[in-house]
Amino acid sequence: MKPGTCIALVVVLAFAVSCAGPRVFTKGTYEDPNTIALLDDRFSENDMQLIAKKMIQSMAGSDIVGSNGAPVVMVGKMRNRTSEHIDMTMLSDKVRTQLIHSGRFRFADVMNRRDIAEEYEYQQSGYVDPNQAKGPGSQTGAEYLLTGTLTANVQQAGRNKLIYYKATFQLTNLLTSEIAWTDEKEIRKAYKKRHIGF
Amino acid sequence: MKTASFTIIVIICAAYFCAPLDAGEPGRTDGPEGSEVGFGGYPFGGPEGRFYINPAFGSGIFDRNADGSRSGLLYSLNLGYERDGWLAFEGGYAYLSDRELSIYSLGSRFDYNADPFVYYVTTQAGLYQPAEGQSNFGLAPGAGIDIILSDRIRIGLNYKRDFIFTDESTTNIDRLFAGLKFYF
Repeated sequence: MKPGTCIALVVVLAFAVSCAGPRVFTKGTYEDPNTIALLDDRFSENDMQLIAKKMIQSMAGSDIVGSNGAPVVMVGKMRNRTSEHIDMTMLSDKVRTQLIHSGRFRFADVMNRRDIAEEYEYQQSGYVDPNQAKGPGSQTGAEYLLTGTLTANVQQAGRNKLIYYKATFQLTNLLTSEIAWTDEKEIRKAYKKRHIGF
Repeated sequence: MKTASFTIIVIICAAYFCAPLDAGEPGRTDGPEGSEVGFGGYPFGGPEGRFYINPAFGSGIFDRNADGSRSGLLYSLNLGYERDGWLAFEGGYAYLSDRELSIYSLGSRFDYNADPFVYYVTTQAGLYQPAEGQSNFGLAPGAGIDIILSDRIRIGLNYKRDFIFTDESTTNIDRLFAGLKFYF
């Protein structure tokens, strides 16, 4: 066999061997979740972190936190008005967790109301020591309702794409229905199409 | 002298490029408000576009099937621009010692990355200029394998088959050489 042909065959064979078999995700590593990594053009955890950070700072610094102590807030509807599937609970949970940790707000548990009510019924049924049984009538009334809306706008031309998100959060006074606090976070991400393989 | 110059270039390049690639600090979302602006990207890929220099050394056989054909030493230096990690444009100079033949070429390279190996094919068009006589046009398809040593350095083997078109006939050169690629 001619040397040139032999070399070409070796190269082709090596190429074919490396391409054979399924490619799977492996060699994983743990990463810092706060490091920015934008693998695609969808809503990412970094976007969620940026929105949460802005809202937490703004709420914690607002006039609502007065001399009467930490106000009680209930988390209401978080509306996703983008075309993407976005887990808004992830966002509201992060905001709530950080605000509780700050000690400047208290939160009423809205998500588990049904479970709490069932537990009241059980504890009042006689199975539980009456001195320890919990029942209705002692819950703390929420003073504010926290709601939010996420909207998006996409501009695309050729290889370029701009994605704009706007998150607006507000606290509504449950007594007066006034919006006691509101703020927004704008995010714009610029993408350029590129090839990801041969 | 040519060999010495070539060696010096390779050593200087190696010293410079052995330094780790400074990718810069990645952006974070827990900094001050607005500190994330300008950061992002795809942390698993290489840079979107980067230049490289590819000194190589090997052997070339001019018209292997002809009587009296013999191999000669081959020196080459390619400069290229790699974009998107799979496509590169390159141009270079090669010198075949026994024929005193200079080869000026331009072309493209297509990579398939199977870390730590990179397989590629190249297509080049060139001007083949002997020390005496007229210059000719030729084409040089090729293939090769690189081993990724670091983000900035690859080492590899390359084979090229030159088709030189003259007035009378088409002659060939088989080039086999090893080289280093230093990325900027």
